[in-house]
Amino acid sequence: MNESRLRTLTKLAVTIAIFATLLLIIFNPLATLAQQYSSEALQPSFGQALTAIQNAESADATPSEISPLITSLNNALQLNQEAINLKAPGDAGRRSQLLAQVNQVLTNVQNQANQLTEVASHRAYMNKAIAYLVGIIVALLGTIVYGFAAAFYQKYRVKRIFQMRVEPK
Amino acid sequence: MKFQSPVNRVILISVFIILTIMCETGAYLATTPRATEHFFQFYLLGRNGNLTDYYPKARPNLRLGTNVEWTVGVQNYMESVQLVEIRVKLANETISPPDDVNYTPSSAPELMGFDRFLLDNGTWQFPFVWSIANATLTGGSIHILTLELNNETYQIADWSAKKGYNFRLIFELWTWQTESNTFVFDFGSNGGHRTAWLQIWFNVTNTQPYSQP
Repeated sequence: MNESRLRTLTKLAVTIAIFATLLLIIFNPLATLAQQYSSEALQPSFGQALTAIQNAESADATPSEISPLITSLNNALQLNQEAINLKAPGDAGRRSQLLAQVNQVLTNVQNQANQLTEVASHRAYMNKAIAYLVGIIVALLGTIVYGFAAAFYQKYRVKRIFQMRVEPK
Repeated sequence: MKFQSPVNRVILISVFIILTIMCETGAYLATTPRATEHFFQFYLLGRNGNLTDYYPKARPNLRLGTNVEWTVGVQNYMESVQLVEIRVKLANETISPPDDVNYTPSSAPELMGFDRFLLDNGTWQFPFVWSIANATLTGGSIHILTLELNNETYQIADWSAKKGYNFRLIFELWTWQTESNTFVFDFGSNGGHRTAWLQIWFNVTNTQPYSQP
């Protein structure tokens, strides 16, 4: 096999490995960003908060990170229900106070969920990059180990051949 | 193995390519979530949280003031946080139940709703204690006028059943749909649609108040 063909083959293998890794790393964050931008038009506050949290989930936020936000939202639901139940004209002040609290909670939850999305997205991106990088390193180490093992086995075979004795039957 | 040998280099490069493909496939599988079935588990338990004792003495013939203790539960297996609402409706045997084929809810009047945000794999259970506070017998039909649900009183707009038989409480699970910004009765599940609802029958055979022995 000539030398130039070998060089071409080596270059091709390296290019394919690098290209595949880059493609896999780049593809996933794009998908996450697409999900973040798709639901910005929502208006009702509870729906917006839900969407923000679902985005954080899509960006690989863990249940332990999301759990406090859900607790806050459920508290907001309770406050909202309390406000709805205040129907007497004398309760208008208390009602508007409760609704203000609900809005405050929802705004906080949305902000925290957005921050969480950024953090989780970056973390997921890094985890994926590391996973694919580790894959290439393991493959490289495996190839080196295979090379040395093959070389050792060849030497062992040669040594055994020279140690052979020819005996007449 | 002589690394300078062209044949050996080809072998090494081949080994590297094969190992790279194998390792990257492993990395892809490890970092990509698997598609699973999306659904809700929606259930109603009797007294003491069992699938028995739905009515006192296991008889669905109720008197006024008889307390019925249930537990309503939902488990979220939708792979994402969900905002759910459980709508409770009172119906008799002539009212149509929810339709699983066309995904339409029951046309019975809604008594109350319970809202909750649910984590993925999260469970929500709450007690549902109710009794009939007021009912009248008119023209062979019993009319439920007032229901007590979780210590709140609900006036019913003249809901009746012949001889008081075959009343039912219908529990419908509604979920918040972010696209339409409303609660919807059906939820998306692996490309299709599903509904979740329960109903439990009871009779009001005596309009006299229940008296403790």
